[in-house]
Amino acid sequence: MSSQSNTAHRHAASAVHEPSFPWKQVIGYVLSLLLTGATLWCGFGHGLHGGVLQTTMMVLGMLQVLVQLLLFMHLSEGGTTSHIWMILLGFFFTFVVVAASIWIMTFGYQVQ
Amino acid sequence: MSKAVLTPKQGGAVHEPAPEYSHGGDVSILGFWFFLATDLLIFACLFATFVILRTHTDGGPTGSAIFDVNGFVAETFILLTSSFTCGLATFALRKGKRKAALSWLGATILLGIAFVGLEISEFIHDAAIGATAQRSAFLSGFFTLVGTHGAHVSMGILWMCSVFYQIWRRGIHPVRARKLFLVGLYWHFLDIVWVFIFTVVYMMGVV
Repeated sequence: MSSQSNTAHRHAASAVHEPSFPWKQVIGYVLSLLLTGATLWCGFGHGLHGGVLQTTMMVLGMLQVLVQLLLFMHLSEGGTTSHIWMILLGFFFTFVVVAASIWIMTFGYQVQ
Repeated sequence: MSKAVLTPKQGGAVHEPAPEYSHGGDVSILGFWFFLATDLLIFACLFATFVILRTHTDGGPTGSAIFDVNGFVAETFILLTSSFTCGLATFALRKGKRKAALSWLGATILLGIAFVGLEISEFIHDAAIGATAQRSAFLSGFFTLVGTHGAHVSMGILWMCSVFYQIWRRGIHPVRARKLFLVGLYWHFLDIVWVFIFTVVYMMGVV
């Protein structure tokens, strides 16, 4: 038990770069709540319709992704920049798969 | 003075970014980002399928007929909160606070169980009114996409329980710090996927 608290003490000593209060996490949580609230407001506030509404909600969703990646997943720190390239490549392929599938299927060959 | 604080094994730990990177962790964490990128591709395929099939209801129930707004909004806030508590667990870990890390990890596990419970009750309700995966192409796409996410969350809960047990029994150590950091990355990633399920499946289904 004492060795555990000793280990914890040494880690606390080595973790001096972390702030004493989890600002990143709290800011990230507040931002994600605000963004979700904004999406609900856009959807049920009867102000926006159709394509404008869908685009607005997608933009709000992408901002949520940035909050998660930068404030919770610590993407911008880490040892190397290769993490960022890895996940950007993933997002690029994701975009291509989804956008290209929808584009191809809009030519009228689908069964209704 | 500094030798009294840092053992030779941990020499230079002050300059390391975080404990999870201090034990050959960088390569492992890069590999996990690679896994997340490939997992993103699975969800990309399922999202593409769903978006193409969402209007193919074959006379069966549509999204606005079966989606319960209060239910999916509650699921969203539960998952966002669990992402926050998981971030606090990583924060406590980096401060070397074992008890705080375990408490926040436990809270994340409970929120995850609440989320899966709500989702299961939603699926049971859908099945009870005849909205099963066999009913229409829209419902096949819906259950495959949302069900795959739910299976990921369930897997994450089991994984978190095992990390919780290891840190509870043996304390914080660079290797176990990395395990907690990775399950945290996995959990935040599932929140990212859910943001798009919330937007594309549920919100665009009911408005």
